[in-house]
Amino acid sequence: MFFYGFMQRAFQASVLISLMAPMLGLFLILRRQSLMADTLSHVSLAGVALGLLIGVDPTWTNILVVILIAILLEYLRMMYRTYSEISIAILMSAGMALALVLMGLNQGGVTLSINQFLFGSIVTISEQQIWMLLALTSIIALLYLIFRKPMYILTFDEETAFTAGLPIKTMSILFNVLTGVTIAVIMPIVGALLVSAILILPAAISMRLSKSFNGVILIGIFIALTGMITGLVASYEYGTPPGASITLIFIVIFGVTAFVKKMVQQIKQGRLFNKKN
Amino acid sequence: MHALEISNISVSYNKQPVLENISFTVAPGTLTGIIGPNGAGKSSLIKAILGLISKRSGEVKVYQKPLSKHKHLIGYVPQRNEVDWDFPINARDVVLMGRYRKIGFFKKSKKQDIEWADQCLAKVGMLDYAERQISQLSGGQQQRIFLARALAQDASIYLMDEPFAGVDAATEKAIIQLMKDWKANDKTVLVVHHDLQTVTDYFDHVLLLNKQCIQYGTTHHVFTHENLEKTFGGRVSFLNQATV
Repeated sequence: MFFYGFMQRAFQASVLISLMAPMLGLFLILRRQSLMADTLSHVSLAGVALGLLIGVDPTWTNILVVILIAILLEYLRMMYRTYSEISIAILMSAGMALALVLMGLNQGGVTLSINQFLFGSIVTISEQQIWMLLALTSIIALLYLIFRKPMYILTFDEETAFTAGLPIKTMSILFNVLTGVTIAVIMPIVGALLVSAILILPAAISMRLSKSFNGVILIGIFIALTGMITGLVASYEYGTPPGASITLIFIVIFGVTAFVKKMVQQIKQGRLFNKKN
Repeated sequence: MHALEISNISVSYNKQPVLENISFTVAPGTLTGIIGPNGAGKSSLIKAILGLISKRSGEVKVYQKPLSKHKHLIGYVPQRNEVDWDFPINARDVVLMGRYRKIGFFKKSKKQDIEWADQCLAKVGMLDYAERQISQLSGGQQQRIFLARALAQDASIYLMDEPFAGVDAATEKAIIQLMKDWKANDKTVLVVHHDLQTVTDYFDHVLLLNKQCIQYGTTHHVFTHENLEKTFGGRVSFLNQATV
């Protein structure tokens, strides 16, 4: 399967996504924004539909729309501080509704394209997208290295971050924008419906395995690589959608990890109990 | 020179007034207990002073300069339940957060910073737990980590939101010792406090608050039964023994 150019690109994309996903995913989980990725992916469908309607490359309209919504999300989060999930609910439905209306306005061959964006497709990965992914992964890794400390404190304790003089609003907006751009870039590959799973699940699984920040990210990268590569191979072999295959493999890893951890805990507790007796 | 000057602070939540025209000045090297019934606006006052919530009106001066100019002189110890203790980070790294401003947000922590963090942990009796992930600590231990972080910050004024709430005896002792050390070093401490029985032991100044500033001054003068009745209404019959 590696003779095919599109498969080579798919594997290159998988490696790059695996490197960036746990870094963003961990911050999204800790900032209680796991569902934000879902919201932005729904919104990005509207961006794609807009691009197709006005005849512009959907990647760019997608990025533009997602950036706007990522900024709006932060304002809604501040407005509904106690019920921050309201902003997620409002924008998720608004994004989906707008996408469907724009698709309705554009009669013709749009359905096929929208399907590609909904479910993702290996064959849609272009050379340009690989370069975009490479640039994005490098930017995220660089930003992580530079802004790790301010992001730690912002995520752990926003109030103390503010009193320490950090521009918390700007940082939050930039983080949302970065998440939005990432979703817009990787959505055509894994599909809008499952893009958040790719971002969130590796970090969610590795949080159960490591108690240090860097540990979670490193294990997360390993899990992401395992899930993405195995998912791609399965997708190629059985003709299943790549995003769905990858997500299911992550869910299996999640289940196995939880089960093994529980067993290990029980064995340890059993030993302790035996020692006491 | 005053450490803190609060002038006419008013705060509203959804158009409901929470604080009305609060004004008082705090001298350096004092320990102030902020006392009042539930819903009196004690935590809101601290947050309004820090600029964490928006004020309808009012001004805060720190050592005669506006808050924005002297923000770095203030250390804040939030309520323990306001942060996520499942955060994948160990106790030492939380304490180091208090040092970020001095180290620089974009620089690596040096050996002496880590040593400083460890000294702060030792002062609150938590050095043995430096490598522990914070979720594995008890409530009192988590509170002591917060104190160590405040200590690491080496601020001039500390604002603490209910540090004594639900802590064990060892933590209570650590907080009292720390407050005494701060006072001895001319640092100023304001603490939102619930337990009226301990006010006279812990604080040399008291701010009685119930949406308005009922009175501010030395504990000896202010913490009287009459003033407590003004603050708490008719619910202070059980407090007779607490007052001076």
